[in-house]
Amino acid sequence: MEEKQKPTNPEENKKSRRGFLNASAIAAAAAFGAAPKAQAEPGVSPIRVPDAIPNALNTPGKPANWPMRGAQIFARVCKDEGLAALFCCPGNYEIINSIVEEGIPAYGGRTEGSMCSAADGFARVTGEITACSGTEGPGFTNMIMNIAAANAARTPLLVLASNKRIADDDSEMGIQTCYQQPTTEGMRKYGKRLIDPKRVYEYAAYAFRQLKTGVPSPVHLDFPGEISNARFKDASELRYFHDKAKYKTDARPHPDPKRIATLAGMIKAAQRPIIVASTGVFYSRAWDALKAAAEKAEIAVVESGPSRGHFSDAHPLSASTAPGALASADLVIFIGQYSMPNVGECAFSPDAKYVRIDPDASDIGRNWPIDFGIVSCEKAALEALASALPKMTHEAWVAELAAERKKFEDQNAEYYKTGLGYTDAVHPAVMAQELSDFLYRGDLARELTTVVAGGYGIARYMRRYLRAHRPGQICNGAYQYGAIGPDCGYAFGAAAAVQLGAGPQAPYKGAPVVAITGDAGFAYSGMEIETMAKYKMPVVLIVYNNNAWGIMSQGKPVHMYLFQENLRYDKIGESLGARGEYVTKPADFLPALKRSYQIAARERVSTVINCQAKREFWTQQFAPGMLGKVEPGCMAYSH
Amino acid sequence: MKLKTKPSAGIDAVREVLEGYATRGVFRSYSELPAKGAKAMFRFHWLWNAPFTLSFDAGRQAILFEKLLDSVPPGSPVDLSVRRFLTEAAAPGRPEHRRLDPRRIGITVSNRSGALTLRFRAKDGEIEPAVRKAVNLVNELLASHLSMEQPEYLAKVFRLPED
Ligand SMILES: Cc1ncc(C[n+]2csc(CCOP(=O)(O)OP(=O)(O)O)c2C)c(N)n1
Ligand SMILES: [Mg+2]
Repeated sequence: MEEKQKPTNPEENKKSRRGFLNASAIAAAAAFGAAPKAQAEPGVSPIRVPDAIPNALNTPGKPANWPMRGAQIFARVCKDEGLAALFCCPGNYEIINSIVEEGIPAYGGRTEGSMCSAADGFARVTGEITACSGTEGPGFTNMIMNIAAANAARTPLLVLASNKRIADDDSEMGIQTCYQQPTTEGMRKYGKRLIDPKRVYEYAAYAFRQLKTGVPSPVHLDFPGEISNARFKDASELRYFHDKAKYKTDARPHPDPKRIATLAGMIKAAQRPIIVASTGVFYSRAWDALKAAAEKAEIAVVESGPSRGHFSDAHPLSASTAPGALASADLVIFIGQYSMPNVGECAFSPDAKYVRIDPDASDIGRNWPIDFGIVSCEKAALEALASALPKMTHEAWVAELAAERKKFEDQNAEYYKTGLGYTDAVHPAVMAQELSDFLYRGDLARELTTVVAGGYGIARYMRRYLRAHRPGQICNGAYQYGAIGPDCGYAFGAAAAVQLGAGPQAPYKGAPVVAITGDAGFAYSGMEIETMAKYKMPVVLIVYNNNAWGIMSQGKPVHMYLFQENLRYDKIGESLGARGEYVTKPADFLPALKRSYQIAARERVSTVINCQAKREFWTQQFAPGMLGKVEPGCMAYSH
Repeated sequence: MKLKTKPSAGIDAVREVLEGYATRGVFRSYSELPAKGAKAMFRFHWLWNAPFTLSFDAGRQAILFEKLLDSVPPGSPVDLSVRRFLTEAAAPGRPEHRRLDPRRIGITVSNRSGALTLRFRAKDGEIEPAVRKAVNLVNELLASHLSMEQPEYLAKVFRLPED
């Protein structure tokens, strides 16, 4: 029941996707260890990846055996629990080295904060548990903004850091004294400073139980020296050491059948029902159940959350690109909406009935008043609902969704036309429409490319034009926390996920990733271009350069809001081992994008496309100016 | 809090609809204010937890959102945007359930010193649907239309968290 997007031909799509995937897999194999493209500058040594890097990457891990150290015991639990990847900077050496030895994919980057966001980005496009790590004081505190962003997005992120020996507590012995646990209070689900070496296995179990049950969120463990370095001859020297099947359950809360029957009745009585499919639908991998329930009774579905694609935008029941339809819904079912909007923050009608399905009973009724609640794992609830619902049709509602989607597309086309009229700089609508056409209406299979939608002002445009056709296709950068800056970190993590083919990224393994950021945001994590180049991640990074923190308005001391003009982020890319493209005219954007994508696919080389815009595009003199948003749906980022 | 008002045509209907929203939690901190004669006035916290005032003039069969928005110079982009939204609400292309039928409900927008008041008159004397329509239209105007077209203005007047 997928809607065709003209002029995409699904058969051609299949062909080109297969062809592309094959080609990129071959390129991926060939590229590992290959010499990077030399920058031909006479007398200047080219940037190169030293052989030591591919050599180390090609060296298989060596899982530990008794006798083991504390760090190795912990790393073993990470492996057994399926930790998908580790992103870190040097520090906390015992732990990170032990994790690598266990054969868990690991990446070392340039700042702990960005590596924390990389782990977050990986999770947002796969649903898998990831970890980040840094050294005790400074490495750990460098991650604070990024942990908070992960917490707001409810990411199952394991935050690891070393710490001073317990024996030196309060002493300021040496350097880096930091009380870590109070620092993450309010931005994590569970935290623990390990103090008894013998309980390292037990606390690893605590951590994974928290990460894998209920509403996910970051878990923070800090490892004083005595813990990582403790030596154990055999299991008898540990407390609480037993088989992993005994410290947890795979059971999930299932819905009360009577409540599912009531909900089915409410859906039957409604004329225009809608499901708001959010974070919990993605993390419980409930996309098939969601589709089955929606199709059975022709229920509209609108997405929200840090990740998009668990319900395809191309489906005739999708309302993610039909903001005009939201006010028509007469029954709204929030599923897995962990960051709950307040009244006014969603465009639904005050006359609609409201239902919430959530694994956490204590959250149901927070912010948005509800008429009916169901406590359940999202997947279990959707499966139960799909089987309880009789076959139903809502023809007029389906037609209204189609009309509202068209209205939205027409408005986007209108913005594009206006944007093309500005020829002295690249307007965001031009970038957004042309990127959208390239990714979804050209030669590429529309579900192929994972996109990190970052930036601030540019994101207001991009979100309207980016489309999600399968789970994890869009990482919604600024979701809830609204942080400017983690984008290059997210991009690295998303690229790592696609290169590994982790979780729902498996069919797209090896494909390039596209990321968008602003010039202010670039400053926080742009050094990770070097990490992309080092690991040969095929990323096309579009920097919207408007010479400003885009929130500038009248009457402010502008020197604090403006940058120098005509800065060259493409040259930063080049100087860090990636390519650079400098785009100053609208007509140059698409060719630069095509070149960058092709080189990413063929050679696994990243590109920074510097798109020169101007800050006046956010003012009312340059229609349409700074755009607002309607939530939920493709524009949503608060909730 | 219910006050004894002279039973006037429509007031009970208005009260019943608004109390319904309050019972369902859509409106919070709901109360009826003292009013004279064939008038009634209600206050409640609603969108973005901001206070709203709705009054009803039974004589004119009119529902008013008084000073719904302030800091709106006449002819300004916000002023024009509100008027355009209300005109389009009656457009024949709009789905029936969201459409405003101009034969049944008349809308007037007045701008006094930058304060916008919306007045919905039940031309057919059917108060209950007119109140619902008024509440729904104001909801759509703010939570959808102006959220899209005038985000900076909304953030300022409703003191929404800054980006
Ligand atoms: C870390 C951080 N600092 C400050 C802000 C406040 N803020 C929101 S948007 C914005 C401007 C961002 O500029 P840029 O990324 O260049 O976006 P654009 O110029 O395209 O709007 C700022 C400063 C924030 N959200 N996050
Ligand atoms: Mg900027």
